[in-house]
Amino acid sequence: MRGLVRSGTARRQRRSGVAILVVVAAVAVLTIVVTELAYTARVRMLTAAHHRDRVQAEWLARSGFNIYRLILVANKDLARNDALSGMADLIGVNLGDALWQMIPVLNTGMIRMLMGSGGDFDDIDEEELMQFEQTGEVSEEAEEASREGSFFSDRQFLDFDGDFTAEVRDAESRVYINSFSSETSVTQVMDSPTAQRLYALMSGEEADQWFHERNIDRWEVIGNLKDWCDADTYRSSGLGGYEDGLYNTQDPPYLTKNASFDTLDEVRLVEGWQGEVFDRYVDKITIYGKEGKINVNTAENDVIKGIIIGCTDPDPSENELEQCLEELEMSTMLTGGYDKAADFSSAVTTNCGIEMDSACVSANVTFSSQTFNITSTALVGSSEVTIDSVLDFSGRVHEGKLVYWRVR
Amino acid sequence: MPRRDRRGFTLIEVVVALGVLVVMAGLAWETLGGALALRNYFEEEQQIERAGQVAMNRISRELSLAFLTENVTAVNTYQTVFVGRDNDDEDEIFFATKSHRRTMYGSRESDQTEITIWLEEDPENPGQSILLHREAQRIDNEPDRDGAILPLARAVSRFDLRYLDPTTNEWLEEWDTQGTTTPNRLPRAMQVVLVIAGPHPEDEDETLDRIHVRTVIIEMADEIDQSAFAGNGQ
Repeated sequence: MRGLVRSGTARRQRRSGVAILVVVAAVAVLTIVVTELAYTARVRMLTAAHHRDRVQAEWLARSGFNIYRLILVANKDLARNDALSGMADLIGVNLGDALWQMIPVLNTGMIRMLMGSGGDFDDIDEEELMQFEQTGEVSEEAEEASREGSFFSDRQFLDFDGDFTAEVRDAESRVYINSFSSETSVTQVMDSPTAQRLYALMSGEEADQWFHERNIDRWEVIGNLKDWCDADTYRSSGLGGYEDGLYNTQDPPYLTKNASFDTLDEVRLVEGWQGEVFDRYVDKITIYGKEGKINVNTAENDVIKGIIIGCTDPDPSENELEQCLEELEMSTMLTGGYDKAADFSSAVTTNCGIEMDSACVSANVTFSSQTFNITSTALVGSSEVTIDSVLDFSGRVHEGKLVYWRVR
Repeated sequence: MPRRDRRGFTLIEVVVALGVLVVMAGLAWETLGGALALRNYFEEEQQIERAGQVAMNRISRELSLAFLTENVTAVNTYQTVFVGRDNDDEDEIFFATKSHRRTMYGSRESDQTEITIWLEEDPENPGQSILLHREAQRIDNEPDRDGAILPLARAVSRFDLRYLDPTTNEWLEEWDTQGTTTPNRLPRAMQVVLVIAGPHPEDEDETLDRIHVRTVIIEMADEIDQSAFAGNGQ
């Protein structure tokens, strides 16, 4: 009897061992299947969510662009209104660029915070501001508060996921490099007015040091830009040889264009303009704005410096120029800008004691911009989309002609 | 050890057990096999769907940034064209666009490029067509040559393009900026149809077409001339 009991227990024990193995194996198989399914499902869900966020971000970025287009059209309509322009002149305001200059950057995150604080910048929560600066996003509480505090709450103003930041800048505040193609009588780069402006942009103590450290000859890289655009086949920087010699040894070989640039990015094809030089000056040069005139009301000092050097003979010294630009900056702030070439010339003479050639100033200076770069970046979830665009108001199209558009 | 402890199964027990096992395995195989076949089918279908979406996204992006230069004097060094040829279900297009992406810092490339998209017989799968894509490093005076050729989609049974003329508001089957009908201007929009043959859910020997249709706005083209709408329905 004892033997039977023992043998029965032993059999049960053996069966139990098999059962555990079977259960463990089944659980392992199930775990693998479920994990794989969960992983695949998660990847697909994230891919779909990313795609959804990207589409949303692109249309948010388009909204940023459209708002600036609206502001620019309104600005142009205001400037065309003779009665308003006359009144603005009386109080010393140039309506040509007034509106867009008042709002050079639009940020829905900032608008949310401002509305949440009841419209007062001083009441914006410090922690909220810090979080926004670090992440580009506002908290749910602030979003909710902005909706409640908004005049537009019934219209669900700003009631969307994500935020966009848009900024506008006029092309006329930069050095126009396509004028190289129209300077047909100039063979040497140093004689080119465009090259002189570029050289002025690249000069100064800090720039001298920067170019010296990299062993870059400024006239050579400027000459290469001119050679890319001009119709002749010889190098203009005085180094001799054919223009194409710089490019026909590349893999694959190519030739100089002998025509104007079609996009600013095309400058990267020009010898010496890859990498650092392009990155340093891309924001200070332009290929838009057909006449190539500089708007002295919006241009930075190193661009205005090129105008002063180009329209004076002999050239003023570096120290004189630095002092002059500081004085001019102060004068522009006090007077609200210029609207005639004679005003600008007399301001330079009064503040700096430098006499400028009035015909040269009239040919190279403008006081109202027609071409605008609009950059709009939207962030939804982890998806970011940026739209770079250029609108040209110099033609007949009332809403401005879109001459550049790129989504990245 | 007592004899009873070493007693094994009888033949009948083994046969019955094996029979039950075979029946259970058969049932399980039928269910699992069906499920696995369905899973494979859906995976393959999703892969084809994704390949179609990726191809359409790329084509749409490149077409939306198409452009024509105003610098028509540099014909010996630089030409931009927009040419779409109608060949029933096997259309071909080559054009200049601002959609190029540089992959290396400091490389001699810009945002401009030349693209060609066309159908050819797939050398790996005779009888099937492959959608090919050519992208040049730079724009030159040969708008339909040079550059890297890569496949965009396989088993394509139809690649059809239509062009919206902004001056007449009419859809055209062909476009040629160098021709006389649509000279030196871009279409305002395009309709792209891409059909990819995929597996049939019920018949292994048959295929089922996956159709992708998209309308693409060409951002830098002229707006539709308002006079094209005059008189319509009035």
